[in-house]
Amino acid sequence: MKEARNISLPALLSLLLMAVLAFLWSGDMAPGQWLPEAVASEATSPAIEGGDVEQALKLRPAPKPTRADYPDIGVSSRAVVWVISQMHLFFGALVLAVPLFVLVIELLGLYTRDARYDDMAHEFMKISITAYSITALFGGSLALALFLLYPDLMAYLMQAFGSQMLVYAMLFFLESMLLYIYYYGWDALRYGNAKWVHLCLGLLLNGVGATLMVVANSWATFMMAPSGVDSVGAVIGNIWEVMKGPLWNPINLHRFVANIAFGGAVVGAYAAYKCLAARTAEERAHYDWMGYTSNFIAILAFLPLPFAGYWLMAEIYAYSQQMGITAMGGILAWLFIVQAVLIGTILLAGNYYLWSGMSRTEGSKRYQGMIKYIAVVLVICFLIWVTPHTLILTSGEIAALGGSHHHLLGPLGIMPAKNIAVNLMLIFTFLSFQLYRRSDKVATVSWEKAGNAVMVAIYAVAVVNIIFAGVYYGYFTNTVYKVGSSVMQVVSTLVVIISGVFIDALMYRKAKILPSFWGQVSNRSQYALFALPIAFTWLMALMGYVRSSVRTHWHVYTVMKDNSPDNFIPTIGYAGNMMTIVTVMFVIFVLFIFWIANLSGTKQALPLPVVKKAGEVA
Amino acid sequence: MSNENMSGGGVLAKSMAFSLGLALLFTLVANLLPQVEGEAPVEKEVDLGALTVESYTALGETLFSGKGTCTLCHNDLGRAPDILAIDMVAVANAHLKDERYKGKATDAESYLHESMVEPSIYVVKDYGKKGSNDTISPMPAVDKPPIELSEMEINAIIAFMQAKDGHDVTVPLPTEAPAVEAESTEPAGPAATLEEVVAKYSCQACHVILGSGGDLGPDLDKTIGHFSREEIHQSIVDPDAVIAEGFPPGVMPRDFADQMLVKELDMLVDYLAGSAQPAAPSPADHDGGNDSGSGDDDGVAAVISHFGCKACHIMLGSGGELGPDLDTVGSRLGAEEIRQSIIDPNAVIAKGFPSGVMPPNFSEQMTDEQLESLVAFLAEQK
Repeated sequence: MKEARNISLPALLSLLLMAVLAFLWSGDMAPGQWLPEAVASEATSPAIEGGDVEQALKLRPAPKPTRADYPDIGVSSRAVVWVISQMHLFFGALVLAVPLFVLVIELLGLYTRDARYDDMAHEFMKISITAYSITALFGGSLALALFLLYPDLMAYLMQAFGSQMLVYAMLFFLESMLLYIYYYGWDALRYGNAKWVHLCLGLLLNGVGATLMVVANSWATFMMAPSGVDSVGAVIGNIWEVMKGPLWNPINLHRFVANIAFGGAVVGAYAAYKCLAARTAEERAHYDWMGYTSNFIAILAFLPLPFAGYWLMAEIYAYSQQMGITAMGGILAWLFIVQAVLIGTILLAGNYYLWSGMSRTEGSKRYQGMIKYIAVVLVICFLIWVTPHTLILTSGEIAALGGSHHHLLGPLGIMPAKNIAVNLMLIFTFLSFQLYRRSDKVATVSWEKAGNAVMVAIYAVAVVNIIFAGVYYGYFTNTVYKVGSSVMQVVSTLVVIISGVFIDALMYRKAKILPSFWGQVSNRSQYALFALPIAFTWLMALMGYVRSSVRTHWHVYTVMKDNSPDNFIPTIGYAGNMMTIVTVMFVIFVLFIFWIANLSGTKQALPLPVVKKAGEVA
Repeated sequence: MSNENMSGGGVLAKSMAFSLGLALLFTLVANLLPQVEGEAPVEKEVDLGALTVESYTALGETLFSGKGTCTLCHNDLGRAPDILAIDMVAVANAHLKDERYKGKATDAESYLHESMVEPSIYVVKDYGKKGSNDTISPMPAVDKPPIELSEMEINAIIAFMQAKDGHDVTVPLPTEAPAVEAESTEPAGPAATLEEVVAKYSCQACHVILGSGGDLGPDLDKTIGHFSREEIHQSIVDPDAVIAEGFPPGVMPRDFADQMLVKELDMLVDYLAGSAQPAAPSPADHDGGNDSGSGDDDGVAAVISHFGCKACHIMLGSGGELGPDLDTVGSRLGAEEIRQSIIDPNAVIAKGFPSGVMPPNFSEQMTDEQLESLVAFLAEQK
């Protein structure tokens, strides 16, 4: 009964969304019926009257709406769409990411024959299943808001992507079916060959989910760097040419990796909440372990994220240097100071959690002396990262400073210095991670000392290389080469991470395992697991805002102008307030999900029979 | 450090408080940073008749750092030559003598123009796109989206680059003619027949079409039925994409896509594709032909136009920025203050604007009626 109710709501939402999409798609077939005013006047061309609808639609330039073509609802349309789309993206990211690492954990459970993995994976899915309904709810609301508030833009996007809509709706339906079968069939397909069937379902689910994501990404990247259209926006390419713009794959990769980090952080918060509220030592140990696993997923996915970001920015610069500079050196550049604060928070919280977790095993005493040095490096790098380059100063302040840039802090504000800081932070976070992983192990291989010497050498060379590349290319060569130097730095960081994983995997293959006491961590460490999703959520909101804002006053860059009252880039403060609003809203909805997840496992105790008091007659 | 577990409610309250506190901390950081809004470029209507060399140069400077977005790259950070720090006329003359130069410019003015509309013709050493060996410039053509400077605006920037280092401004001041042309780009109404389309867009000035016309472009009557609808459509909206053999590129205006209605474009394409004959106008086509209206042709608009107010002020949604935006002046000043600022403009100067720019003799030129209608109009602009 309970399960039937669980299915019906999302199914209804899915049907609703399907209906909306089908309506929109059918709109493509009858343009005169639904096209907004800015294009409807042109829609009654002889070609259309003559039945040559498809061709006439394809060759129509992008609409040029005037301010009057945007409905005025009394509040900022952009703010409305901002909030709804951000909520949809948060939950969409969660729903796509969780099944991905759940599948890996399930496979791990099958490989190790440890039922705890299977149970944990199932519990993770419990969170995802409720989040799915909320994703659909916000998705439908977003479609509605966009069509109501930005009719011309949506008419144009339908013109470009119309043929994709039915595929998208079908994928969405398939995703719903697979998700419910995967979750509700967990216990029915738990052992033997049935488990492989279940794993295949999980693989299919993730395949469909990833396809949905890349399809939706193509809309966003088309707006940033349109392809398959001519200079006036008329669609001249097929749907594949419209989708595969220059920024599509960089965004696909970036979102894919970021979603995993985000999903890991959110389920980590769930584990932390359950760990803090646990009533038994056993329960606390279980959720401590679950929190550790979530943090492991989040940080592991987070480490390569800056590199995906580099690729995306490099492609943005290659597509349009103007767009790249607007993001990194123009009006949006200050947002990267906020980004530094957020990523600094993530790395410091992640490190703090790892250091606290070392108390679970006696073996960690070997490494605890290094923590303070790692902390010092992290803090120094963090401070360099948040140092601004250009300050807005009064003439008196400029005179007192001796110029527009501080003679000491000014050089720390430019990208090369920040690249050094970021890469060192990543390397030292990996060091924390490596020390934590080694804490409960004693290597038994004969080449342990040599292996450690190689590892230390790799760290040393990487650190020197990162600092040298940053200083030399950053301060002694032309600006054009500054970006190029970051490739050397990124490669150095990746070499440390990959070789560290590889060496440790070999060195600790038959290691002696020291006892670990799950649950033996401070309560304070669990708050680091709350800090991660808050910072991740805020960061996602921030970077999504930057990505969207680089289009400046264009709906679709270079082919369709934004003439709405909101066609300006708001102040950082306003954007920051919006980000906090969506983050707090997300936290509230996530708490609701946690509550629902708990509720499904709560069983009311059987009412006790009425106890008869002495002398009372039944 | 206590590991004692809390009740569910306690955990909820503490975790919420922690999360909220952290989110507010990030908000605080965002609010402590400099607060700047990035406005979309406002299309200004410049009164060309009122332009002087100085105001044209000043317009160029505004465009250089504003709509032109030149300062994004041309600054002291080394991404592109720092135009403000170098003598661009001297640099242009030097580049013209460089053996790598393959363009068509003959003097500094034409070089500067060429470098803006075709930046890859000559790429300054070390400033080319990565891997292009300085053959491709990362600079966008300024006359195309997203920058979309008009010819008049490009020349204004050239004037600024010439004047800033003390050189003579050689670009001609724009005359009234282009302004009229610019205004006339708003079509009076949709053409109802093919003949009207051909006449409206002056196709016959260059092409033979409907039996007559010039020979600057290909004879279109001879090409009927030879090309697909797509090819014809492209040759109208993007005429330089494919150039017919024996005809020069860059002659046919590139803004027909902006001017033509789809209906008009389709009529032309149908005819050239051989799928339609010149048609008689249908009664329905005449409906709505006057729906765009004739604009604000009332007394105040005439006063504004006659005295060239928009050369310096934004009024009725467009205008210059040398003086304050007058579209909201009624919310800042009362009728008396507005009257004073017209009669004696230097009595009180709006913050951020220079004194002595606005002519002090408007009161002598305007009739009382004109002055009062302007004051009443401006007082209502809130």
